[in-house]
Amino acid sequence: MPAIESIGLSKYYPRGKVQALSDFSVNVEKGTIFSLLGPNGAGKTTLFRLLLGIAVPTKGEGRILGTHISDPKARQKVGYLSEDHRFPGYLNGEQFLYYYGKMSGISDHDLKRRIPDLLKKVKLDERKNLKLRKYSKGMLQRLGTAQALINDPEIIFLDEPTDGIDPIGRIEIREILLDLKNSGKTIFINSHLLSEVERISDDIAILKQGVLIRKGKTSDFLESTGRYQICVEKSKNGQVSEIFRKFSIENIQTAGGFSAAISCPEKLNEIIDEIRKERILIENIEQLKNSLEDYFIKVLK
Amino acid sequence: MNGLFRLTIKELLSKKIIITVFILATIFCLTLMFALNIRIGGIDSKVILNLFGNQVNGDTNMPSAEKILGYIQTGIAGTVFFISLFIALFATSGLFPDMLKKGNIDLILSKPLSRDNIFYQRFSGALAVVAATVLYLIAFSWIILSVKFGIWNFRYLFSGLIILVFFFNIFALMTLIALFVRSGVVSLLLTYFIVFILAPIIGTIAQFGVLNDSFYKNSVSILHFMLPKVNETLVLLSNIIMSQEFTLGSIWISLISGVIAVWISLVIFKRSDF
Ligand SMILES: Nc1ncnc2c1ncn2[C@@H]1O[C@H](COP(=O)(O)OP(=O)(O)O)[C@@H](O)[C@H]1O
Ligand SMILES: [Mg+2]
Repeated sequence: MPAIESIGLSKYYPRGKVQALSDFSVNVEKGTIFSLLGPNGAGKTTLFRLLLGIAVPTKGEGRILGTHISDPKARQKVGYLSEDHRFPGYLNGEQFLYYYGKMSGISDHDLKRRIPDLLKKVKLDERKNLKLRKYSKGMLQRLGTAQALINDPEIIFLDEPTDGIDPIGRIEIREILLDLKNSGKTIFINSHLLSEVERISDDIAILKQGVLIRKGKTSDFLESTGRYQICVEKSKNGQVSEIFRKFSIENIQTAGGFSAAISCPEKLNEIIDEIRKERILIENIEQLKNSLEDYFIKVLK
Repeated sequence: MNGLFRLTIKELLSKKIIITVFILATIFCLTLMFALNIRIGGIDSKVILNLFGNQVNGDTNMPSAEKILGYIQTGIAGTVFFISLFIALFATSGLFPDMLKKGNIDLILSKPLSRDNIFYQRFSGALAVVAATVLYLIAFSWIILSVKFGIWNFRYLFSGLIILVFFFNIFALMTLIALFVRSGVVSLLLTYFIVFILAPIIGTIAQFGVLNDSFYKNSVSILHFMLPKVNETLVLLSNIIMSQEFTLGSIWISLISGVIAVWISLVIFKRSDF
Protein backbone atom coordinates (compact mmCIF):
# COMPACT_ATOMS: atom_id res chain seq x y z
CA MET A 1 0.00 0.00 0.00
CA PRO A 2 1.45 3.37 -1.00
CA ALA A 3 1.57 6.14 1.60
CA ILE A 4 -0.29 8.54 -0.64
CA GLU A 5 -2.41 7.80 -3.70
CA SER A 6 -3.77 10.48 -5.95
CA ILE A 7 -6.11 9.08 -8.58
CA GLY A 8 -6.99 11.64 -11.21
CA LEU A 9 -7.42 14.43 -8.67
CA SER A 10 -8.72 17.57 -10.32
CA LYS A 11 -9.77 20.94 -9.02
CA TYR A 12 -11.60 23.73 -10.77
CA TYR A 13 -12.09 27.01 -8.92
CA PRO A 14 -15.23 28.58 -10.33
CA ARG A 15 -14.51 31.89 -8.62
CA GLY A 16 -11.29 32.51 -10.51
CA LYS A 17 -12.31 30.26 -13.43
CA VAL A 18 -9.03 28.38 -12.92
CA GLN A 19 -8.37 24.73 -13.58
CA ALA A 20 -5.86 24.58 -10.75
CA LEU A 21 -5.21 20.85 -11.08
CA SER A 22 -6.03 18.45 -13.92
CA ASP A 23 -6.26 14.71 -13.62
CA PHE A 24 -3.31 14.36 -11.29
CA SER A 25 -2.27 10.78 -10.57
CA VAL A 26 0.70 9.77 -8.52
CA ASN A 27 1.68 7.29 -5.82
CA VAL A 28 4.07 8.19 -3.07
CA GLU A 29 5.73 5.14 -1.60
CA LYS A 30 6.31 4.71 2.11
CA GLY A 31 9.64 5.84 3.48
CA THR A 32 10.54 8.06 0.53
CA ILE A 33 10.94 11.77 -0.01
CA PHE A 34 8.75 12.92 -2.86
CA SER A 35 9.05 16.42 -4.26
CA LEU A 36 6.47 18.18 -6.33
CA LEU A 37 8.08 20.96 -8.31
CA GLY A 38 6.61 23.71 -10.36
CA PRO A 39 6.47 27.48 -10.67
CA ASN A 40 4.13 29.61 -8.57
CA GLY A 41 0.52 28.96 -9.47
CA ALA A 42 1.23 25.49 -10.85
CA GLY A 43 -1.28 23.88 -8.48
CA LYS A 44 1.03 22.33 -5.89
CA THR A 45 -0.74 23.79 -2.88
CA THR A 46 -4.08 22.87 -4.42
CA LEU A 47 -3.01 19.22 -4.48
CA PHE A 48 -2.13 19.40 -0.77
CA ARG A 49 -5.48 21.03 0.01
CA LEU A 50 -7.32 18.23 -1.77
CA LEU A 51 -5.33 15.48 -0.10
CA LEU A 52 -5.80 17.03 3.35
CA GLY A 53 -9.54 17.64 3.05
CA ILE A 54 -9.17 21.42 3.04
CA ALA A 55 -10.78 21.66 -0.38
CA VAL A 56 -12.98 19.16 -2.17
CA PRO A 57 -11.87 17.76 -5.55
CA THR A 58 -14.07 18.38 -8.54
CA LYS A 59 -12.99 15.00 -9.88
CA GLY A 60 -10.86 12.09 -8.83
CA GLU A 61 -10.06 10.68 -5.44
CA GLY A 62 -7.21 10.10 -3.08
CA ARG A 63 -6.11 7.86 -0.24
CA ILE A 64 -3.69 8.33 2.59
CA LEU A 65 -2.38 5.07 4.07
CA GLY A 66 -5.34 3.40 2.41
CA THR A 67 -8.01 5.65 3.92
CA HIS A 68 -10.11 7.79 1.61
CA ILE A 69 -9.28 11.50 1.91
CA SER A 70 -12.91 12.41 2.66
CA ASP A 71 -12.58 10.54 5.96
CA PRO A 72 -10.99 12.63 8.75
CA LYS A 73 -9.24 9.47 9.95
CA ALA A 74 -7.02 9.68 6.86
CA ARG A 75 -5.32 12.61 8.57
CA GLN A 76 -4.64 10.75 11.81
CA LYS A 77 -1.00 10.07 10.98
CA VAL A 78 -0.35 13.16 8.94
CA GLY A 79 1.69 16.26 9.73
CA TYR A 80 1.31 19.43 7.71
CA LEU A 81 3.28 22.62 7.30
CA SER A 82 1.13 25.02 5.32
CA GLU A 83 2.44 27.64 2.98
CA ASP A 84 1.16 31.01 4.25
CA HIS A 85 0.56 30.01 7.80
CA ARG A 86 -1.04 32.32 10.30
CA PHE A 87 -0.43 30.98 13.77
CA PRO A 88 -2.29 32.50 16.74
CA GLY A 89 -0.16 35.40 17.98
CA TYR A 90 -1.50 35.25 21.52
CA LEU A 91 0.08 31.84 22.15
CA ASN A 92 3.72 31.20 22.89
CA GLY A 93 5.69 28.50 21.12
CA GLU A 94 5.10 25.87 23.75
CA GLN A 95 1.36 26.55 24.03
CA PHE A 96 1.01 26.47 20.27
CA LEU A 97 2.45 22.97 20.10
CA TYR A 98 0.28 21.93 23.05
CA TYR A 99 -3.09 23.09 21.67
CA TYR A 100 -2.43 21.90 18.13
CA GLY A 101 -1.17 18.61 19.52
CA LYS A 102 -4.43 18.29 21.44
CA MET A 103 -6.32 18.84 18.18
CA SER A 104 -4.46 15.84 16.83
CA GLY A 105 -5.70 13.86 19.79
CA ILE A 106 -2.34 13.46 21.54
CA SER A 107 -2.40 12.75 25.26
CA ASP A 108 -0.98 15.22 27.78
CA HIS A 109 1.51 12.58 28.78
CA ASP A 110 2.94 12.26 25.26
CA LEU A 111 2.91 16.00 24.69
CA LYS A 112 4.86 16.66 27.86
CA ARG A 113 7.64 14.52 26.47
CA ARG A 114 7.44 15.51 22.81
CA ILE A 115 7.17 19.29 23.00
CA PRO A 116 10.60 19.91 24.60
CA ASP A 117 12.21 17.46 22.15
CA LEU A 118 10.70 19.16 19.14
CA LEU A 119 11.51 22.64 20.36
CA LYS A 120 15.09 21.56 20.78
CA LYS A 121 15.12 19.97 17.34
CA VAL A 122 14.10 23.21 15.64
CA LYS A 123 16.28 25.27 17.99
CA LEU A 124 13.46 27.20 19.61
CA ASP A 125 13.74 25.80 23.12
CA GLU A 126 15.03 29.11 24.42
CA ARG A 127 12.17 31.01 22.80
CA LYS A 128 9.37 28.76 23.93
CA ASN A 129 7.88 31.42 26.24
CA LEU A 130 7.85 34.15 23.62
CA LYS A 131 4.48 35.07 22.11
CA LEU A 132 4.22 34.06 18.45
CA ARG A 133 3.39 37.61 17.42
CA LYS A 134 7.00 38.38 18.30
CA TYR A 135 8.46 35.51 16.28
CA SER A 136 10.32 36.22 13.05
CA LYS A 137 9.28 34.59 9.78
CA GLY A 138 12.08 32.06 10.06
CA MET A 139 11.18 31.17 13.66
CA LEU A 140 7.54 30.68 12.69
CA GLN A 141 8.62 28.42 9.85
CA ARG A 142 10.69 26.30 12.21
CA LEU A 143 7.88 26.18 14.75
CA GLY A 144 5.53 25.18 11.96
CA THR A 145 7.88 22.33 11.14
CA ALA A 146 7.84 21.22 14.77
CA GLN A 147 4.05 21.41 14.75
CA ALA A 148 3.95 19.16 11.69
CA LEU A 149 5.77 16.54 13.77
CA ILE A 150 3.75 16.89 16.98
CA ASN A 151 1.71 13.73 16.42
CA ASP A 152 4.71 11.65 15.38
CA PRO A 153 3.20 11.36 11.89
CA GLU A 154 3.86 8.67 9.30
CA ILE A 155 3.51 11.17 6.47
CA ILE A 156 4.62 14.78 6.49
CA PHE A 157 3.31 17.32 4.00
CA LEU A 158 5.57 20.33 3.68
CA ASP A 159 4.51 23.26 1.52
CA GLU A 160 7.54 25.40 0.64
CA PRO A 161 9.36 24.39 3.84
CA THR A 162 12.44 26.54 3.30
CA ASP A 163 10.51 29.72 2.56
CA GLY A 164 11.83 32.61 4.61
CA ILE A 165 14.62 30.56 6.14
CA ASP A 166 18.26 31.57 5.94
CA PRO A 167 20.84 29.27 4.30
CA ILE A 168 22.00 27.73 7.58
CA GLY A 169 18.43 27.11 8.63
CA ARG A 170 17.85 25.42 5.28
CA ILE A 171 20.67 23.02 5.87
CA GLU A 172 19.26 22.28 9.31
CA ILE A 173 15.82 21.59 7.89
CA ARG A 174 17.35 19.35 5.27
CA GLU A 175 19.04 17.39 8.02
CA ILE A 176 15.80 17.05 9.95
CA LEU A 177 14.11 15.74 6.80
CA LEU A 178 16.82 13.18 6.12
CA ASP A 179 16.59 12.10 9.77
CA LEU A 180 12.87 11.58 9.40
CA LYS A 181 13.33 9.63 6.23
CA ASN A 182 15.87 7.41 7.93
CA SER A 183 13.35 6.66 10.63
CA GLY A 184 10.96 5.43 7.95
CA LYS A 185 8.71 8.48 7.51
CA THR A 186 7.26 9.53 4.20
CA ILE A 187 7.80 13.14 3.20
CA PHE A 188 5.92 15.01 0.51
CA ILE A 189 7.45 18.39 -0.33
CA ASN A 190 6.12 21.19 -2.48
CA SER A 191 8.65 23.63 -3.77
CA HIS A 192 9.25 26.10 -6.54
CA LEU A 193 12.93 26.06 -5.61
CA LEU A 194 14.50 23.07 -7.18
CA SER A 195 17.89 23.43 -5.53
CA GLU A 196 16.20 22.90 -2.17
CA VAL A 197 14.99 19.40 -2.87
CA GLU A 198 17.31 18.08 -5.55
CA ARG A 199 19.75 16.63 -3.06
CA ILE A 200 17.31 14.85 -0.78
CA SER A 201 14.41 13.67 -2.96
CA ASP A 202 13.96 10.09 -4.07
CA ASP A 203 11.26 10.99 -6.55
CA ILE A 204 10.34 14.12 -8.35
CA ALA A 205 7.25 15.25 -10.22
CA ILE A 206 6.98 18.42 -12.22
CA LEU A 207 3.73 20.29 -12.43
CA LYS A 208 2.88 23.10 -14.80
CA GLN A 209 -0.48 24.88 -14.97
CA GLY A 210 -2.12 22.04 -13.11
CA VAL A 211 -0.79 19.34 -15.40
CA LEU A 212 1.73 16.70 -14.44
CA ILE A 213 4.53 17.02 -16.97
CA ARG A 214 6.94 14.42 -15.79
CA LYS A 215 7.66 12.22 -12.83
CA GLY A 216 10.43 9.81 -12.01
CA LYS A 217 13.39 8.97 -9.80
CA THR A 218 15.61 11.94 -9.12
CA SER A 219 18.52 10.07 -10.72
CA ASP A 220 16.53 9.70 -13.96
CA PHE A 221 16.44 13.43 -14.26
CA LEU A 222 20.20 13.63 -13.99
CA GLU A 223 21.08 12.08 -17.37
CA SER A 224 24.55 12.16 -18.80
CA THR A 225 25.01 14.72 -21.54
CA GLY A 226 27.77 12.77 -23.34
CA ARG A 227 30.18 15.56 -22.61
CA TYR A 228 33.25 15.93 -20.43
CA GLN A 229 34.81 19.01 -19.06
CA ILE A 230 38.62 18.92 -19.28
CA CYS A 231 40.75 21.53 -17.65
CA VAL A 232 44.50 21.87 -18.31
CA GLU A 233 47.15 24.47 -17.49
CA LYS A 234 46.07 27.64 -19.29
CA SER A 235 49.24 28.10 -21.36
CA LYS A 236 48.72 24.70 -23.05
CA ASN A 237 45.15 25.37 -24.25
CA GLY A 238 46.31 25.77 -27.85
CA GLN A 239 48.02 22.35 -27.90
CA VAL A 240 44.90 20.67 -26.47
CA SER A 241 42.76 22.32 -29.13
CA GLU A 242 45.11 20.75 -31.68
CA ILE A 243 44.64 17.28 -30.16
CA PHE A 244 40.84 17.60 -30.27
CA ARG A 245 41.09 18.57 -33.94
CA LYS A 246 43.19 15.48 -34.62
CA PHE A 247 40.52 13.24 -33.05
CA SER A 248 37.84 15.41 -34.73
CA ILE A 249 36.06 16.04 -31.47
CA GLU A 250 33.59 18.90 -31.22
CA ASN A 251 34.52 21.14 -28.34
CA ILE A 252 33.86 24.51 -26.77
CA GLN A 253 36.38 26.41 -24.76
CA THR A 254 34.87 27.84 -21.59
CA ALA A 255 36.19 29.51 -18.49
CA GLY A 256 36.32 26.15 -16.75
CA GLY A 257 38.29 24.47 -19.56
CA PHE A 258 37.14 22.52 -22.61
CA SER A 259 33.66 21.11 -22.85
CA ALA A 260 34.09 18.25 -25.31
CA ALA A 261 31.65 15.77 -26.82
CA ILE A 262 33.32 12.46 -25.99
CA SER A 263 31.19 9.42 -26.64
CA CYS A 264 32.68 6.80 -24.31
CA PRO A 265 35.27 6.32 -21.53
CA GLU A 266 37.63 4.53 -23.98
CA LYS A 267 37.76 7.58 -26.20
CA LEU A 268 38.30 9.76 -23.18
CA ASN A 269 41.31 7.67 -22.14
CA GLU A 270 42.87 7.84 -25.61
CA ILE A 271 42.65 11.62 -25.44
CA ILE A 272 44.11 11.69 -21.94
CA ASP A 273 47.02 9.54 -23.15
CA GLU A 274 47.62 11.95 -26.00
CA ILE A 275 47.54 14.97 -23.71
CA ARG A 276 49.90 13.32 -21.24
CA LYS A 277 52.30 12.35 -24.07
CA GLU A 278 52.73 16.09 -24.64
CA ARG A 279 53.46 16.37 -20.87
CA ILE A 280 50.53 18.77 -20.42
CA LEU A 281 49.30 18.96 -16.84
CA ILE A 282 45.63 17.93 -16.51
CA GLU A 283 44.01 19.87 -13.67
CA ASN A 284 40.53 18.43 -13.69
CA ILE A 285 38.21 16.10 -15.63
CA GLU A 286 34.46 15.99 -15.00
CA GLN A 287 31.56 14.20 -16.61
CA LEU A 288 28.92 16.79 -17.49
CA LYS A 289 25.41 15.88 -16.36
CA ASN A 290 22.19 17.53 -17.28
CA SER A 291 21.55 19.41 -14.09
CA LEU A 292 18.02 19.20 -12.81
CA GLU A 293 17.95 22.97 -12.92
CA ASP A 294 18.54 22.93 -16.69
CA TYR A 295 15.96 20.24 -17.11
CA PHE A 296 13.47 22.08 -14.95
CA ILE A 297 13.86 25.25 -16.93
CA LYS A 298 13.75 23.41 -20.25
CA VAL A 299 10.52 21.63 -19.32
CA LEU A 300 8.78 24.69 -18.02
CA LYS A 301 9.49 26.83 -21.07
CA MET B 1 -9.64 15.93 20.77
CA ASN B 2 -11.03 18.99 22.57
CA GLY B 3 -8.01 21.10 21.64
CA LEU B 4 -9.98 23.61 19.60
CA PHE B 5 -12.58 24.06 22.35
CA ARG B 6 -9.84 24.84 24.82
CA LEU B 7 -7.98 27.00 22.34
CA THR B 8 -11.15 29.06 21.80
CA ILE B 9 -11.47 29.65 25.54
CA LYS B 10 -7.81 30.59 25.70
CA GLU B 11 -8.25 32.95 22.76
CA LEU B 12 -11.19 34.72 24.40
CA LEU B 13 -9.43 35.02 27.75
CA SER B 14 -6.36 36.44 26.04
CA LYS B 15 -8.56 39.35 25.01
CA LYS B 16 -8.56 41.70 27.95
CA ILE B 17 -12.24 42.46 27.61
CA ILE B 18 -13.54 39.24 29.15
CA ILE B 19 -11.19 39.50 32.10
CA THR B 20 -12.27 43.12 32.54
CA VAL B 21 -15.92 42.09 32.68
CA PHE B 22 -15.08 39.46 35.30
CA ILE B 23 -13.27 42.04 37.41
CA LEU B 24 -16.09 44.58 37.09
CA ALA B 25 -18.65 41.92 37.99
CA THR B 26 -16.62 41.05 41.06
CA ILE B 27 -16.29 44.68 42.10
CA PHE B 28 -20.03 45.14 41.64
CA CYS B 29 -20.86 42.12 43.79
CA LEU B 30 -18.38 43.10 46.47
CA THR B 31 -19.92 46.56 46.56
CA LEU B 32 -23.32 44.98 47.12
CA MET B 33 -21.82 42.83 49.81
CA PHE B 34 -20.19 45.61 51.81
CA ALA B 35 -22.05 48.78 50.98
CA LEU B 36 -25.67 47.66 50.85
CA ASN B 37 -27.46 47.34 54.15
CA ILE B 38 -30.97 46.24 54.65
CA ARG B 39 -32.90 46.58 57.81
CA ILE B 40 -36.37 45.25 58.16
CA GLY B 41 -37.89 46.34 61.37
CA GLY B 42 -39.79 48.93 63.29
CA ILE B 43 -43.38 48.62 64.32
CA ASP B 44 -44.81 48.07 60.83
CA SER B 45 -41.91 45.96 59.42
CA LYS B 46 -40.56 48.74 57.21
CA VAL B 47 -37.70 48.03 54.84
CA ILE B 48 -34.83 50.43 55.18
CA LEU B 49 -32.25 50.36 52.41
CA ASN B 50 -28.80 51.74 53.07
CA LEU B 51 -26.15 52.23 50.45
CA PHE B 52 -22.73 53.42 51.63
CA GLY B 53 -24.40 54.32 54.91
CA ASN B 54 -27.04 56.57 53.33
CA GLN B 55 -30.68 55.70 53.42
CA VAL B 56 -31.90 55.24 49.88
CA ASN B 57 -35.62 54.94 50.30
CA GLY B 58 -38.11 57.20 51.99
CA ASP B 59 -40.01 56.26 55.10
CA THR B 60 -43.50 56.19 53.72
CA ASN B 61 -45.33 53.92 51.28
CA MET B 62 -42.60 51.35 51.09
CA PRO B 63 -43.28 48.27 49.03
CA SER B 64 -42.59 44.88 50.51
CA ALA B 65 -39.11 43.45 50.82
CA GLU B 66 -39.90 40.95 48.03
CA LYS B 67 -40.81 43.77 45.69
CA ILE B 68 -37.66 45.73 46.41
CA LEU B 69 -35.51 42.66 45.93
CA GLY B 70 -37.36 41.99 42.68
CA TYR B 71 -36.69 45.50 41.42
CA ILE B 72 -33.00 45.22 42.21
CA GLN B 73 -32.71 41.80 40.60
CA THR B 74 -34.66 42.87 37.53
CA GLY B 75 -32.34 45.85 37.20
CA ILE B 76 -29.28 43.64 37.36
CA ALA B 77 -30.72 41.03 34.99
CA GLY B 78 -31.71 43.69 32.48
CA THR B 79 -28.24 45.20 32.62
CA VAL B 80 -26.62 41.80 32.26
CA PHE B 81 -28.93 41.12 29.34
CA PHE B 82 -27.76 44.17 27.43
CA ILE B 83 -24.14 44.05 28.52
CA SER B 84 -23.90 40.35 27.75
CA LEU B 85 -25.16 41.03 24.28
CA PHE B 86 -23.12 44.11 23.67
CA ILE B 87 -19.79 43.00 25.10
CA ALA B 88 -20.04 39.27 24.51
CA LEU B 89 -20.89 39.80 20.85
CA PHE B 90 -18.03 42.24 20.56
CA ALA B 91 -15.58 39.79 22.15
CA THR B 92 -16.71 36.79 20.13
CA SER B 93 -17.24 38.47 16.76
CA GLY B 94 -13.76 37.63 15.48
CA LEU B 95 -13.83 33.96 16.44
CA PHE B 96 -15.21 32.48 13.24
CA PRO B 97 -13.77 34.94 10.69
CA ASP B 98 -10.31 34.59 12.27
CA MET B 99 -10.51 30.82 12.23
CA LEU B 100 -11.55 30.85 8.58
CA LYS B 101 -8.59 32.94 7.47
CA LYS B 102 -6.23 31.31 5.06
CA GLY B 103 -3.24 29.81 6.82
CA ASN B 104 -5.23 29.16 9.97
CA ILE B 105 -8.16 27.08 8.75
CA ASP B 106 -5.80 24.96 6.60
CA LEU B 107 -3.97 23.74 9.64
CA ILE B 108 -7.13 23.08 11.66
CA LEU B 109 -8.76 21.19 8.80
CA SER B 110 -5.62 19.07 8.37
CA LYS B 111 -6.25 17.65 11.86
CA PRO B 112 -8.19 14.38 12.13
CA LEU B 113 -11.39 16.24 13.02
CA SER B 114 -14.64 16.29 11.10
CA ARG B 115 -15.94 19.67 10.08
CA ASP B 116 -18.94 19.29 12.39
CA ASN B 117 -16.58 18.69 15.27
CA ILE B 118 -14.50 21.76 14.40
CA PHE B 119 -17.60 23.93 14.19
CA TYR B 120 -19.07 22.70 17.46
CA GLN B 121 -15.82 23.06 19.37
CA ARG B 122 -15.42 26.64 18.22
CA PHE B 123 -19.04 27.52 18.84
CA SER B 124 -19.33 25.91 22.24
CA GLY B 125 -16.00 27.37 23.36
CA ALA B 126 -17.46 30.85 22.86
CA LEU B 127 -20.72 29.92 24.60
CA ALA B 128 -18.84 28.42 27.53
CA VAL B 129 -16.94 31.63 28.22
CA VAL B 130 -20.03 33.82 27.96
CA ALA B 131 -22.05 31.40 30.09
CA ALA B 132 -19.38 31.35 32.76
CA THR B 133 -19.32 35.16 32.89
CA VAL B 134 -23.10 35.61 33.00
CA LEU B 135 -23.71 32.82 35.50
CA TYR B 136 -20.88 34.06 37.71
CA LEU B 137 -22.41 37.52 37.95
CA ILE B 138 -25.95 36.29 38.43
CA ALA B 139 -25.05 33.61 40.96
CA PHE B 140 -22.69 35.80 42.95
CA SER B 141 -25.17 38.67 43.20
CA TRP B 142 -27.96 36.21 43.95
CA ILE B 143 -26.15 34.83 46.97
CA ILE B 144 -25.35 38.27 48.35
CA LEU B 145 -28.84 39.69 47.83
CA SER B 146 -30.45 36.55 49.19
CA VAL B 147 -28.41 36.69 52.36
CA LYS B 148 -29.03 40.41 52.82
CA PHE B 149 -32.77 40.17 52.29
CA GLY B 150 -33.16 36.74 53.77
CA ILE B 151 -35.24 35.87 50.69
CA TRP B 152 -33.99 33.18 48.30
CA ASN B 153 -35.52 34.07 44.95
CA PHE B 154 -34.61 31.14 42.72
CA ARG B 155 -36.40 32.72 39.78
CA TYR B 156 -33.54 35.19 39.54
CA LEU B 157 -31.16 32.31 38.84
CA PHE B 158 -33.52 31.06 36.18
CA SER B 159 -33.35 34.46 34.49
CA GLY B 160 -29.61 33.81 33.92
CA LEU B 161 -30.55 30.83 31.78
CA ILE B 162 -33.00 32.92 29.78
CA ILE B 163 -30.24 35.44 29.09
CA LEU B 164 -27.98 32.65 27.89
CA VAL B 165 -30.55 31.11 25.58
CA PHE B 166 -31.12 34.51 24.04
CA PHE B 167 -27.38 35.01 23.65
CA PHE B 168 -27.14 31.61 21.98
CA ASN B 169 -29.74 32.77 19.46
CA ILE B 170 -27.90 36.00 18.68
CA PHE B 171 -24.45 34.42 18.59
CA ALA B 172 -25.73 31.81 16.14
CA LEU B 173 -27.13 34.61 14.00
CA MET B 174 -23.81 36.47 14.09
CA THR B 175 -21.95 33.28 13.17
CA LEU B 176 -24.24 32.73 10.21
CA ILE B 177 -23.65 36.29 9.03
CA ALA B 178 -19.88 35.89 9.60
CA LEU B 179 -19.79 32.82 7.37
CA PHE B 180 -21.21 34.92 4.55
CA VAL B 181 -19.22 38.10 5.01
CA ARG B 182 -16.06 36.52 6.49
CA SER B 183 -15.40 39.66 8.51
CA GLY B 184 -15.70 40.03 12.26
CA VAL B 185 -16.41 43.76 12.20
CA VAL B 186 -19.07 43.59 9.50
CA SER B 187 -20.87 40.67 11.11
CA LEU B 188 -20.75 42.43 14.49
CA LEU B 189 -22.19 45.68 13.14
CA LEU B 190 -24.95 43.88 11.26
CA THR B 191 -25.84 41.91 14.37
CA TYR B 192 -25.84 45.05 16.52
CA PHE B 193 -28.10 46.71 13.99
CA ILE B 194 -30.54 43.81 14.04
CA VAL B 195 -30.57 43.36 17.81
CA PHE B 196 -30.38 46.90 19.10
CA ILE B 197 -32.15 48.87 16.39
CA LEU B 198 -34.25 46.83 14.00
CA ALA B 199 -35.73 44.28 16.41
CA PRO B 200 -36.73 46.76 19.16
CA ILE B 201 -38.29 49.19 16.65
CA ILE B 202 -40.21 46.54 14.77
CA GLY B 203 -41.17 44.92 18.08
CA THR B 204 -42.54 48.21 19.39
CA ILE B 205 -44.46 48.96 16.21
CA ALA B 206 -45.94 45.47 16.21
CA GLN B 207 -46.82 45.69 19.88
CA PHE B 208 -48.71 48.97 19.70
CA GLY B 209 -50.25 48.30 16.31
CA VAL B 210 -49.89 51.87 15.09
CA LEU B 211 -50.14 50.87 11.44
CA ASN B 212 -53.46 50.86 9.65
CA ASP B 213 -52.46 49.77 6.16
CA SER B 214 -52.78 45.99 6.10
CA PHE B 215 -49.78 45.47 3.81
CA TYR B 216 -47.41 47.27 6.18
CA LYS B 217 -49.09 45.66 9.12
CA ASN B 218 -48.50 42.19 7.71
CA SER B 219 -44.91 42.99 6.72
CA VAL B 220 -44.19 44.19 10.22
CA SER B 221 -45.73 41.04 11.71
CA ILE B 222 -43.65 38.80 9.50
CA LEU B 223 -40.47 40.73 10.25
CA HIS B 224 -41.33 40.75 13.91
CA PHE B 225 -41.77 37.02 13.85
CA MET B 226 -38.40 36.48 12.19
CA LEU B 227 -36.36 38.95 14.20
CA PRO B 228 -34.84 38.17 17.61
CA LYS B 229 -37.31 38.61 20.42
CA VAL B 230 -35.56 41.43 22.28
CA ASN B 231 -38.59 43.16 23.77
CA GLU B 232 -40.37 39.95 24.73
CA THR B 233 -37.27 38.55 26.40
CA LEU B 234 -36.86 41.69 28.52
CA VAL B 235 -40.47 41.52 29.61
CA LEU B 236 -40.08 37.82 30.28
CA LEU B 237 -37.04 38.46 32.50
CA SER B 238 -38.91 41.00 34.57
CA ASN B 239 -42.01 38.82 34.86
CA ILE B 240 -40.02 35.82 35.96
CA ILE B 241 -38.07 37.69 38.60
CA MET B 242 -41.09 39.61 39.89
CA SER B 243 -43.08 36.38 40.21
CA GLN B 244 -45.63 37.50 37.69
CA GLU B 245 -47.35 35.34 35.15
CA PHE B 246 -45.25 34.52 32.13
CA THR B 247 -45.10 32.26 29.12
CA LEU B 248 -41.87 30.83 27.76
CA GLY B 249 -43.05 31.03 24.15
CA SER B 250 -40.61 33.72 23.04
CA ILE B 251 -37.60 31.99 24.54
CA TRP B 252 -38.55 28.73 22.83
CA ILE B 253 -38.65 30.62 19.55
CA SER B 254 -35.20 32.05 20.33
CA LEU B 255 -33.88 28.59 21.04
CA ILE B 256 -35.31 27.15 17.85
CA SER B 257 -34.12 30.01 15.65
CA GLY B 258 -30.67 29.65 17.22
CA VAL B 259 -30.63 25.97 16.36
CA ILE B 260 -31.71 26.75 12.79
CA ALA B 261 -28.97 29.38 12.42
CA VAL B 262 -26.40 26.89 13.70
CA TRP B 263 -27.65 24.28 11.30
CA ILE B 264 -27.46 26.60 8.25
CA SER B 265 -24.00 27.81 9.34
CA LEU B 266 -22.83 24.25 9.63
CA VAL B 267 -24.10 23.36 6.16
CA ILE B 268 -22.25 26.37 4.73
CA PHE B 269 -19.07 25.56 6.64
CA LYS B 270 -19.11 21.95 5.48
CA ARG B 271 -19.50 22.95 1.86
CA SER B 272 -16.82 25.61 1.81
CA ASP B 273 -13.44 25.28 0.16
CA PHE B 274 -10.52 26.95 1.83
N1 LIG C 1 -9.31 29.50 -3.37
C1 LIG C 1 -9.01 29.75 -4.66
N2 LIG C 1 -9.92 30.32 -5.49
C2 LIG C 1 -9.63 30.57 -6.77
N3 LIG C 1 -8.46 30.27 -7.36
C3 LIG C 1 -7.50 29.69 -6.61
C4 LIG C 1 -7.72 29.40 -5.22
N4 LIG C 1 -6.61 28.83 -4.74
C5 LIG C 1 -5.74 28.76 -5.76
N5 LIG C 1 -6.26 29.26 -6.89
C6 LIG C 1 -5.60 29.33 -8.20
O1 LIG C 1 -5.20 28.03 -8.54
C7 LIG C 1 -3.94 28.05 -9.17
C8 LIG C 1 -2.97 27.13 -8.46
O2 LIG C 1 -2.67 27.71 -7.20
P1 LIG C 1 -1.72 26.98 -6.15
O3 LIG C 1 -2.19 25.58 -5.98
O4 LIG C 1 -1.68 27.82 -4.94
O5 LIG C 1 -0.32 26.98 -6.87
P2 LIG C 1 1.16 26.73 -6.30
O6 LIG C 1 1.05 26.22 -4.90
O7 LIG C 1 1.78 25.75 -7.22
O8 LIG C 1 1.86 28.04 -6.33
C9 LIG C 1 -3.50 29.49 -9.23
O9 LIG C 1 -3.81 30.01 -10.51
C10 LIG C 1 -4.33 30.15 -8.17
O10 LIG C 1 -4.59 31.48 -8.50
MG1 LIG D 1 1.90 26.94 -3.26
